[in-house]
Order: sequence, then C-alpha cells, then structure tokens
Amino acid sequence: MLKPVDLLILTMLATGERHGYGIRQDIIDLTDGAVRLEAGNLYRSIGRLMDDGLVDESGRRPAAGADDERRRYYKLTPAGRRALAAELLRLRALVRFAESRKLLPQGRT
Amino acid sequence: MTRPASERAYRLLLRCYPKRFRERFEDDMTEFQRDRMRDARQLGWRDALALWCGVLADVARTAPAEHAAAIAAARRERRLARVTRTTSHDTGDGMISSMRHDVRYALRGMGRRPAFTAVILTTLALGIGANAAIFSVVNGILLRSLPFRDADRVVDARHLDPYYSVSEPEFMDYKHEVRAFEQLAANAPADANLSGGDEPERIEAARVSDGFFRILGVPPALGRTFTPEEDTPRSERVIVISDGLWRRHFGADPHIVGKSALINDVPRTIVGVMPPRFDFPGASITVWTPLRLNTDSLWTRNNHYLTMVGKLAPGATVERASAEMNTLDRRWVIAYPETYFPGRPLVSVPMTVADKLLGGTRPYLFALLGAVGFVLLIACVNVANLLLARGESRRKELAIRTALGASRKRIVRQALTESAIFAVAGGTLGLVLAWWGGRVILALAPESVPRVGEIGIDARVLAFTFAISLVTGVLFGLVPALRGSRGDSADTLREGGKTSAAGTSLRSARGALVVAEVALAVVTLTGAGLMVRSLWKLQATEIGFDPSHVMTMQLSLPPKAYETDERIVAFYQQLTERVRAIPGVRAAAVAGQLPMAGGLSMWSIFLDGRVVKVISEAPSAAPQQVTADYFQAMRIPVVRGRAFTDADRDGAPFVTVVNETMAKQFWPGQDAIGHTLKMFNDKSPWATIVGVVKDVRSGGIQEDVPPTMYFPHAQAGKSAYYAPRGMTIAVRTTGEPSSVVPAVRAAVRALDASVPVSLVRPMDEIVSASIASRRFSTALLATFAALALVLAGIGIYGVIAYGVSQRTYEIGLRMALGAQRRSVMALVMTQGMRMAMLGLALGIAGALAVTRALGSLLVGVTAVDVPTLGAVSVALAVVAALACLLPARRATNVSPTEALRTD
Repeated sequence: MLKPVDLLILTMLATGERHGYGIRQDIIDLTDGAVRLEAGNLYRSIGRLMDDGLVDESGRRPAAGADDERRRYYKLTPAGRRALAAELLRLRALVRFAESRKLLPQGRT
Repeated sequence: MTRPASERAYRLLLRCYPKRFRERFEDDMTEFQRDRMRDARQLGWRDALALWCGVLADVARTAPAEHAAAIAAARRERRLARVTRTTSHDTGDGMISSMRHDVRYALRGMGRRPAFTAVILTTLALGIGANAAIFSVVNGILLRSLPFRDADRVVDARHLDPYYSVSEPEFMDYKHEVRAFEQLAANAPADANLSGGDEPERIEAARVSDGFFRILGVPPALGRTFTPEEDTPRSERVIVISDGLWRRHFGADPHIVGKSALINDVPRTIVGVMPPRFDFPGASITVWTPLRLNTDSLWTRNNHYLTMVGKLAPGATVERASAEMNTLDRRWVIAYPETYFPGRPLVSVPMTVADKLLGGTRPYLFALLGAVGFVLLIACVNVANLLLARGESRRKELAIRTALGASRKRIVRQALTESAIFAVAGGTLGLVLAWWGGRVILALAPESVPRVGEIGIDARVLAFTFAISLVTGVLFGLVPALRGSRGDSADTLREGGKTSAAGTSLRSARGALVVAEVALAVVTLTGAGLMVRSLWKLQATEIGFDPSHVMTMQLSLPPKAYETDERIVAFYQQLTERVRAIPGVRAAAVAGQLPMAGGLSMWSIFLDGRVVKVISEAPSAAPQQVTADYFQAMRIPVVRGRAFTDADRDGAPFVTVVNETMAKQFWPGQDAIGHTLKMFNDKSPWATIVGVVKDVRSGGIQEDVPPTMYFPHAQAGKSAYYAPRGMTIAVRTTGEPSSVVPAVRAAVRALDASVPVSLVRPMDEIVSASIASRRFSTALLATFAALALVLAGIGIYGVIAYGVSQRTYEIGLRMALGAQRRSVMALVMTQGMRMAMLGLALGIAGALAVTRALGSLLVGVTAVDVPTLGAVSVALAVVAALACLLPARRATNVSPTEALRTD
C-alpha cells in the first residue's frame, strides 16, 4: 500500500519524466490546488521512493520553456510502474466495492 | 551571479536536514524554491508571507522526521554489524544481558509513568540532597583535618573560670614539669596599629613564645618563623605576618622578607609570611610577634593573661596531660594561698585544638545531621509506599511473568534494579541540590561559624552521597521487591488482577510505614520546635540597652603620640564633642569595651575602706571606662542616682557608677549610692558610687551579668589604673546609623589622621551576631522539620488516596445501600487519622528519648516541653487531616452506578 503522496508522485511520473517543481505543478492541477507540496515533503518522498527502487533519476536537462538552467529529472522504474499498477488495481477494486454498496454519492463522475 | 537574499535564507534553512539528505537534494530543493519564488513574484506580500509560512511549516515537519529516519537507519546498520560480529559468543554472558534487560525494562517502566517517576525522584532528591548538603558542612568543619601537623596531638590548655588564662610563672612551671607535653608554648593577644599604608590600620596580633610554630607544625610560605633567641627581651624586633595581611597591605610583595613594617610606630622586620588558612589562635590574627618573656623577672602568679598550646609527647594522652597539670594546680593552691580564691580551685582543661575550635559547633551539626537523617528515612518510607502501591497494580503482570516461568530471584532482582536506578538518579539530582544548598548555606552562614571556607563538595561528600543513595535504594526497594515476588500467581490471575479484600496484609504493611514516618516527623518537629523555643527565649532576653540606631567604630591611638593619660582623654573629649555636633547625631560616647563585643575581665577591688592583704580575699568586678554620655547613647536606664557628666573630670571627686547586680551583690538590702570602692592597689584613690544603672548582658545574651563598675574615662587613669588608648565610639543617630560614618571618620581624621578606624558596625549587628550561629542552625533545623512534615503529609495522602481508589467498589456499594456522604467521609478520615494519631503517640515517645541529646543546645526549655509537644501535635493533626480530606472528598463523589459497573 502506498502513501497518498507517493501515489500522486508515481502517477505524475507515469505520464513522463519530470523535475521536482513540475511534479508539484501537475499535482496542483490534478487536485485543483487541494494538494500543494512543499520542497521538504516532496523530496523526502522522492528519496524514499528512490530508496525503494520505484523511482530513478533520468539525468539533468534544461527545463522546457525556462531559461537554460539544468534540472534533475525523475522517471519511473519498471518496479515503480508495477507498484503503481498494483496500487491502482487495488484502488479500482475498492471503488467498485464501494459502488456496489452504494457508498459513493450519486450525481458525480 | 549573486543569489537573492531569499535563496540564501532558504539554503540556511536547509541546514535543518541531516547531512546525507542535504547532499542528495539540496540543489534540487533550491531550484524548486527558486521556481516557486519566480512564479510567486507577481503575488502580494500577503501571499509571499503565506508561501514562507508554508515553507517553514514544511521544514519543521519534515526535518525532524528525516533526522529520526537517519538515526534509525544508522542504528539498523550498527546492529546488523554487531550481530554479524558477535553471534558466535552471544549466549556467554546471560547475567549481564539479563541485567541489561532489567535496566531497559525499568527505564521503560519509568518512562511510561512520568508523574510517578517525577514524584519519586523529587522525594529522593530532597532527602538525599539535604543529607549531602549537611554532610558537606560536617565534612568541611569537623572531618577535614585541621591545617596542623599531627593535629590530634596539638593541645590547647587553659584554666576554668574564674582564672581562665595562665600566668607567666604558671606557664614556666607547666613547661618544665608536665612530661605529657613534648613542647609547650604560650601566647597572648595584642592589638596594634599598622601604619605605612594609605590609612593606618588596626590589627590583631598574637605574641607567641618560642616553639609556637613548631608545635603547630606549619612552615611559613615565605621566609622563616622565630628563632629561640628572638624570644628574649631586648632582642631585635621581628614579626611574621599572615597571608591576608601580606596581600592586603603589602601587595603580595614576593621580596617582603627582610623589609620592615611600622607597628605602633616602631619599625619591625618581617621575617616570614604564613600560608593561607593559617590563623591560629584566632581568625582575626594577622601578625605574630615573639612573646619575649623576661624569665629573670616574671610577672606575678595572679596575673592570668596567657593561653597555652602544646604538643603531646609520643604516646601521651590529653587525660595524662590533664592529670599532670591538675596535680601541679593543687600543689600551687596550697603553696600560694594569697594568689588563688578560696573555694575556687584552679582547674586546668587541656583539650585538642580540634575540640577547642569546634566543640561549640559540633552539637549543632549533629542535631542537623540527625534531622536530615530522619528526613531521608521519611523519604524512603514514602518511596517504598509508592512502589508498594504501584506493585499492587502490577500484580497481574508479575503473576503472568511468574506463571511463564520467571524465577522469584529474577523478579526480586528486577525490582531491585528499578530501585537502584531510582536511587542513583535521585542521588545525582540530590547532589545538584546539595551543591546548590551548600552555596546557600555558605552565603547565609554567619562569620562566627569556624572553618566555613572548608565547606564544599569533595570526594568524601561524593562517596557519602553515593553510599546513602545505595542504602536508600535497598531500604525502599526491598519491601516492594519481596512483596512482589510473593503470592500465588494462579489466585491473582483468577481474580483478574484486582484486589478487593485480599490486600489486607499489604494495606497494614503500608499503614505501618505511614505510622513510622509520622513518628519520625514528630521527632524531627519536636527537636526543631525546642530549638525555636530556645531562640525565642534568647531573643526575648532583656539585654539592658537599646541597640537600634547606634553606630559603633573602634579607634586606636598610636602609643607614641599618646603617651600620657591627659593626651588620650583630651583626644576622646574633643572627638565626642565634634561627633555630637554632626547633624543626625543624638548622643555620642566612647567606651573601653562595648557590650557583647567580647568578654570583660574581672578586677579585684576593695570596698568601703576595707583593705585586705590577700588578693584572694578581695571581691572582684568588671571595669568599664566610659565618657559622659555613654548611658544616653546606649540607652542604659539609670535606676538610682545620676549618670556621668562632663564635670566628672580629672581633679573632680572620683566617682563611679555600678550596675544592679553589683549593688545587690555587695550591698544587699542597702542603697549602694554613697559607698566607695577602689582598685586592689595602694595608689588608686577611693571612688564614690553616684549612680546605679540597669544590668547589661555585656558578655552575650546567654551569659550571666557580671558585677560591673563604670568609671569616667577622664578619671580612669587614676581611679582605674589607666585610661585605655583603644576605645569604641558609640553614636546614637536619629536616622540610618550608617549615614553618619563618613562624618565621624572625617572628625577623627581632622583631629589626627594617624588614628585608625576599624570594626565599623551598627550595634544591633553586634547583638544579632552574638546569636547568629544559633539562629542559623535553628532556621536550618526548622526547614528540615517542615520538609519532614510535608513528606509525612504526602505519605498519608498517598496511602489514603490509594486506599480510596482500591475501595471504590465497596464505597459505591455502601452508597448504593444508602450510606450518607458524611459517613463515607468519616470512614475514610478515621482510617487516616488513626494512623496519624498512632504515629503521633509513637513519635512523642521517641521525641522524649531523642531530644535529650539536644540538652546542651537548649536554653530556657527542657527536653520535655509541653508547649512544644502541643504545637507539634496540632501541626501534625492539621497536616494529617488535610492529607485525608482530599481523598475523603473524592470518595464521597463516587457515583454508585459507576463504581459498581467497574467490577
């Protein structure tokens, strides 16, 4: 079972390599600003995910659309991809179960 | 590219993280932050503030977490390394590992109950701290050896009253005939003026005979002490000075030896400097000079002014010295009947210097040690009780452990480990308290306490504290440990670990402990109460004069410039006139000696024309030379007749004033006025008594009032042998006494700048100093007694409160069955008060036995003092009632339904 923050980070990285600030911005977009990660929390999570072998560095490169500073980008490892898939499956099972018991509020997608 | 301030601040903030984490992410995080700042640039200050708050909160949350993770990781690594290293012989030391386990188990238990642990540690720290503090005082004053070689062989020898000191012929006889002394030296005090500094200084000197320094066995720090030749008349004048004088007056000059000092305007060569701490025979001695007895023409045998210090011959005892001296004494009384008072035998009292210096302090210290010992015992009882109560609630746990196969030995050891940890921790805290308490004691201790400078924490105090901590640990740990290991585990488990009526034996054990501690508290309180009563009695003693608003200063005229009585009298006459003119001065007078500032000597006199040949048949009284306004300045009431006036000068009829004791003693049933007296001397004139004044406690509050005769200073040169050069001025002021000091000093300087002014102090300070040691030790004793009372109260409270919590079910049942709140309250109160009263009774019995030891310290009260015992009983009853009241009230608030449901 993954922590919510870890799940969010893995999900963002699943769609492409990103640098830290990019991950934060994407999460803000996704959650309509409900989750705003600060640097300490974000990099702590990244460090943990790297220790667990779910995330890896993908080298430095210039950020798109910014000046020529180089940033460190992160990507999912195959193990990370598997862990994300497993977690999402688990979540889907959970949501289906909840739907079958009519636990979700109606009228929302 | 210079970095913006915000980025530098952020980098600084990142230092909160562990190094490893920083190395990994510092740059990334800074980039991240830079992006944030860039995106936030267009925001207002409010949002910027929110941004930084978010950053700070983030760091505060994640940095400690990251540190914890780092530590955990490091530990994991270490353990892994150790396991791989030591798996081979891990099972070898089962004892050590089980002990380590015990310690860890105990520490975990303490951490789980912080309040319980805090109460125990505080109690122990107070008990052990009080003991360590008082022991550090006892150690410094009594146990540390005196700074003399073979101090137990150094003996002070003098006579009992009324002779007290030793005369020159007596000294020579003792010196030659008492075999018990390897060496014997005499010394006599002397005051002198030391000039040459900015201001002339009044010093106290000791004139010592040959052998003095050898007997004490203290080598000088610089130079040498005296040679035998220097102790002969007409030899060169030499002195040895104290370390204090060397530093203060001579600027610690390393080449001082051989230089000369002006003492009483006579140059004397300094031959040596004594080391610090050497102050024999008195703390204020700063100069030693040879005694220079003229052995060819000694003073008369009845001139007792010397004290002696001797070194016992190897193998000789103080008792033998005493026997030999007293044999001589008895022989002299028969051989010289005209010298010694009939019916007042000459008795020699040699005693070791330690006894002499510390004899007066010892009983106070032992009383204090006793009090803190009791406090510690009470603390032990409290802690034992707490552990017993806790042990009770852990019965189920212990039963399970026993059932699972833990041996009884193992459980006892576990319990003892816990108490040892408590004891050592309490002892350490106690040591801190003792260090602090010792500082407080030092700061408050009066100067009259001997060897105060020696008080401190040394290896012996540390050892003592450690030892009492361990003994304490065993004392309070043993009972609960043995209790805990007993009992049928199966029964306990079947009961579900709850106690209902089963704990009666335990309850009685705890009750007995409380009774014991109440008894101990009563003994301590009674002792302190007796001391407080003694102090009150002393403070209520009528001292015969009014010491408030009186400033005193000692003046000493240099002998060379003031050779004649006329010059001396004129100086003091002019001085009192000048001082009287100072604004704020009510009256001013000088006296040879102030009350309570040192004892008076007794002079033999003739009364009413009856001249006797033999001095032993003459009455004696204490002389006092004073100027006219003395009785006004000191507010000594004139009972009959008149006080002195300025008209009582040289040339006028010789007059004297006596105190009531003297009037009653020598002229019982008569009016003393009109009677005459004169010195035991052919040349002195008869002086007529013109007044009788109230008695003054001149020797000190505790001393008897001697018959006292006052002489006008202006006539004293003729009517009382001499007019003293050294006098003390007493100035009665309208306001703050110290405010007149500069003006008086200026008046002295204006008359003669070479006259030193010393011992500047208010009169009430002199009075309070005379009982300062007693007041101080009484205050300490009272503090410890209060501590004992509070601890005993806490003990009662603990037991009763625990009893109530254990009997919630029973109380609830009673209330459900219709018991009144009042009767429930009475039930609880009775139980507590019964223990308190039993303890009180035992304590009073104990106090009657123990406080007899205080005997020598008590004044005006006997060891069996009904008011004291009454006050102690009331105090204890009140504290006990309060201690029972709180749990009793809680008991009445028990809701029956709640209580019954708990079972």
